[in-house]
Amino acid sequence: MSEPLLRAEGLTKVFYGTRFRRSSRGGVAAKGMCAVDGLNLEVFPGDVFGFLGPNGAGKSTTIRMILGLIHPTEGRVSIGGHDLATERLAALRKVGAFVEAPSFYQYLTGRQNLEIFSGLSGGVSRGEMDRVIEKVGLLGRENDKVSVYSHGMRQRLGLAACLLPKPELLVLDEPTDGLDPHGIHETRELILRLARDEKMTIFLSSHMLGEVENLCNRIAILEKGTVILQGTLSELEREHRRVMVRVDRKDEAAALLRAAFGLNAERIDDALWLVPAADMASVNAALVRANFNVASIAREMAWLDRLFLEHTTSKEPAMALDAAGGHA
Amino acid sequence: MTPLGELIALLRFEWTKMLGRRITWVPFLVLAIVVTLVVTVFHRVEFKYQRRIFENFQITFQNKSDFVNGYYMTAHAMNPIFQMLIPIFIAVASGLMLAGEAEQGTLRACLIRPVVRRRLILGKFVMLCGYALALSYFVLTLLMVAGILNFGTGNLYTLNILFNNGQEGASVVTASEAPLRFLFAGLLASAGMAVLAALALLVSALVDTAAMAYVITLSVYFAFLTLRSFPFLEWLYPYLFVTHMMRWQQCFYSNVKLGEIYVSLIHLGGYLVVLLAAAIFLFEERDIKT
Repeated sequence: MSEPLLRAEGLTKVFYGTRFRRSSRGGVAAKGMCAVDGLNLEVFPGDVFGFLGPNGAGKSTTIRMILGLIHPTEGRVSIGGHDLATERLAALRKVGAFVEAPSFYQYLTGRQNLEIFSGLSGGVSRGEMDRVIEKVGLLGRENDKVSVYSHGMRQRLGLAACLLPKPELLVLDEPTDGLDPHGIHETRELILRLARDEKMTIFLSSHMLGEVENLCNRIAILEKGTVILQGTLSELEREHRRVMVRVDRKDEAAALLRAAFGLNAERIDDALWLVPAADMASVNAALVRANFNVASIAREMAWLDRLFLEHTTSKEPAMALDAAGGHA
Repeated sequence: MTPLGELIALLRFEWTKMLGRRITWVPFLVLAIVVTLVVTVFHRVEFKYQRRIFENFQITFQNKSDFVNGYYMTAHAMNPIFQMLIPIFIAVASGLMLAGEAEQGTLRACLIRPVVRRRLILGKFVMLCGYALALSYFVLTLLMVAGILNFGTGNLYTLNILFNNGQEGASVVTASEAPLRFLFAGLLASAGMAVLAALALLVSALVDTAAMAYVITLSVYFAFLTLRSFPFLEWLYPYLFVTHMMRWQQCFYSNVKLGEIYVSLIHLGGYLVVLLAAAIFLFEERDIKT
């Protein structure tokens, strides 16, 4: 396997606030809040890497450390072999990014904004800028002030700013946040095109698990500042995606499948859930051969959602639901 | 890109931003309005009180026009403008440039680019110095032109007490020498504003909102200015940066004390280096969380 383009090793960030506690030696020490705790990540060239985690898990802090906005308390980040602490400029030359909502000088035009931001990275030719403006669908509006842009146009301008000059690694934090369905679709298409056609490595943080499933080949799930799950999407799918079978004589069917395929079959409501996901045709054939009535057999749809929910806890206050499932 | 090339590029970007920001032009408009008001006041007021004070120092004027001329108007209008208005404008501009950008998120967008943080802050500082110089000479030019057109020229008479001379009486600068004195006064005042800009950048490096930055900067400035107004704290004056910021007033003394001006310039240079170095250090170490 090739060298990772982005590597984070033992990345830790402790924020020291204004609250103090008595230290073990009797003195007074600043009370720290550990936002990221010994995080390790590897993103390889060509990856579309999904970075997932609930609110408050440390995603934004991690991304800010990767981009040199926040100094890690411990650990190191390297991009393209350049250590961010000692070779910050060389490392950041390989990166295009937007963190949270893309921010612009509202009183300047889209083109002026792009000139400033690309200029900070060394500048690009007018032709290159025009090409990117066209690519993100802002051609004809680039000379309007950003203050009159819609949210979607600002997101596109944010993408354009990331692409100038052409980066090797694109770090996108919630790129479809607040977009309408058309905007979401177009942004996803653009990300796919960048990964496929321009061989760009993409580090994508998103709450939209379906989006991550569609776009990414590798993911990491962050919980309380630590990576709790990391791997290729196909590996994780193989290990965790279930197959649902609706069949009569469920206990007998479960025993048969366990014996024939070594599958763990769990009975939930009126269905059997098989883990790991098995070849559906073989399962179906085996059940039919043994005279079971198979009503339906299907792959689990929102498997990544389930995996995410099983492994993470929300920091948001839970909504109270009444017995009927409505909001109390 | 070479460090100098990067600094020039940063200055160009700061220039673009400054020109595009509407609030950049507000101080120029305010100063133009203030100059109009000053001219109106100078037309209407008889200056009898001032004439009597001058008489106390054996300088007798028969008419207002004997001492009220374009230079007199400019010098006396400079006091409130350079002690109050321009510091406010510089503090606001500095706050918007760094803490304001942090608040808007554009600072974050800049810092994820391969740009050296200290060069970014230096670029902003240089642009603020240019802005202070532009404001100073804009108001000086406007005051001089409006003053000369309305009241003509003549010897410049100033009451020492209004210009912190430390001596009683009045100072006289000949009409031929007055324009040069104003030129140097503008330069000295701008040097003082550069220190205020460095202080404002230091505060901006510590806080996350523009409003917080300029409120703190102005609080510090006016607190020092208040200390400077208590005669029993005279021993403290040499250590206050505002003392040296106001050294431009010396340009209107009969005999300019060059030694004191040099000392003030050294003090201002010292304050500037310390404040700017602290601003750069804090900005380099700062976590951008906004």
